Amino acid sequence: MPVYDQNYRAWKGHLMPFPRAWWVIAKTHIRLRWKRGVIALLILAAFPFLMRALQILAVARMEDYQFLQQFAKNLEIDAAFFKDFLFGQSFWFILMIILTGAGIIANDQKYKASQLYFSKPVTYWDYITGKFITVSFYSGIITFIPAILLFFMQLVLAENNTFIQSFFWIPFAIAGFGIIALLVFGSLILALSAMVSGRSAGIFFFALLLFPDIIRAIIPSVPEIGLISVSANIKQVGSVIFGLPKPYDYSTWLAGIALLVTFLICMGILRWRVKPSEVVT
Amino acid sequence: MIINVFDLSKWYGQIIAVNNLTFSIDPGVTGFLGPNGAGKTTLMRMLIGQLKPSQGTLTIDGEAIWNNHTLMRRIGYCPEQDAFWQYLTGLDFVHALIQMHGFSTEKAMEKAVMAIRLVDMEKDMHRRIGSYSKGMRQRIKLAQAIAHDPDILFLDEPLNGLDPMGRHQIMQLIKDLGNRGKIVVVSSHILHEVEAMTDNILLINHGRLLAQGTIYDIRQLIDTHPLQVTIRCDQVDRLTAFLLAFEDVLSVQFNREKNQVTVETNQPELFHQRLPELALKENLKISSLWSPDENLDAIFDYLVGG
Repeated sequence: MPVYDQNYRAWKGHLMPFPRAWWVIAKTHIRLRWKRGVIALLILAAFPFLMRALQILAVARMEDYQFLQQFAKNLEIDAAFFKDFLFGQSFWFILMIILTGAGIIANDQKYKASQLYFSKPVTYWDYITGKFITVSFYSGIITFIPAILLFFMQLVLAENNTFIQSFFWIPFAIAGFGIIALLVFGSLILALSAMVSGRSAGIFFFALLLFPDIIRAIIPSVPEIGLISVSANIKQVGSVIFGLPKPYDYSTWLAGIALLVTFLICMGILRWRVKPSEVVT
Repeated sequence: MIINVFDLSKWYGQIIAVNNLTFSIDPGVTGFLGPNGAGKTTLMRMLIGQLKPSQGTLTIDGEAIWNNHTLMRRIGYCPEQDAFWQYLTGLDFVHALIQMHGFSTEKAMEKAVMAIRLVDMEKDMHRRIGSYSKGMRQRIKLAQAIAHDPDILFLDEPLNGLDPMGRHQIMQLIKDLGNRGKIVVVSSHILHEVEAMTDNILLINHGRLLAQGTIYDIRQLIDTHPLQVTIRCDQVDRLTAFLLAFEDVLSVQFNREKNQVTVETNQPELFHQRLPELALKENLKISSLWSPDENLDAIFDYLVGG
């Protein structure tokens, strides 16, 4: 008969006081998503950045190189330049969100991997944060990070302080706009991924962005109809953040509230669908 | 270290999955035994702190387990379902899950490799899980459960899909973990698997605890159910005649060719006390004695009305 050691034998080594499970989840998924499709998208999405970088170079060195003069004519590096870059990247941004986020929770549910996650010391917030960081990492790397890089490139190439004095707030605007866009689109794809299969999540996400814009185009006489469009609301709020005129004829505050409501609904869906531990009342 | 369960119930709407369970589990291997749908997995998920009991308490060393992340660090869980990310390699899978317990990247890697070695998957640890066979998946799932050296292990049908050699290896591993003082709870609906790993069992059916203890203890509880005893003796005719005179013996079958007699008794204790006295007094040479239904199958069939 075996004689049991009845004492608790704690791990003698070092354990992190608060395991950063969200970071482990994010790291693992960032590696998992590093697939051929993502790499191709990263390369394609880099072209607009390279074009903008060339434009900044052209404006700064126009006098040195004559061939750049045509390219840089009438070009100003101002808030609109950065806003236009970000809005122009929206196609790649949406594709990247779908590619990296559509299956991110759906596959866990399909393979019942959440059961394993939550048998570890992983909280609901660890799980959601880890997934959100994965989606944000790839989407941010083709939009907000290059925008910041463009700003610093202009800063380095500028011959005087006029640019920094006038536009010192641009990095904050990029970050603010980035956070809003990532929170809204990121939570939307996570919520869809938690509700349906990976493929369906991608289709629904695309449909949710496309159909409100179609309706907006069909009924142009009612500008407030734009409030149902997530992309229109993002553009409305984004333009104001960059200190530029709003593109649509309805209240920016209402657009902001619509985005907040979208975000809260998505978080509610996530709470309902992702259960770290089940409570039955 | 002890797991205490008191008056534990779990219901989903009108359906009761686990019904008023009270028991305790000490270090060593304990088998949760019951047919499919008996409530084993629900009970296990409550024991690992994933499901909140509808009623009752569940503690490990006096601490409630529900949502208790400090306790969760001491627990290893191997679910019944294949719960994998197909694109990860076996090593990456175990490594990622171990880091969630708070180990540094390097330490987690060291522990992951050690655990993978223990389940004999070292050769295939760099292959993607999507290409694994059912048995390999089972092994890698077990590796993630044991890699952080937990004090308490819950293994839900751990031998599913394993070949006979693999079964033997994993059974041995489970027994070793139990002998090292860990609480190892193994759930299964296959009786001989559990019997091969432990004689300490909890029988569960329809969410109720039917019995707990060693197979022998449980057998003793079933005093209304006759116990079969087979005796091999040099004078089987004489022995049969004597046994027929015992008032606790319900039936006798004898086989002259094999020199053995099988009796059914409803008072096993009394029977086992009187038999040696009889053998001595009448000079009967009893070469062997065993109870053919003192195994898990017989007990289980009887208790669940099979």
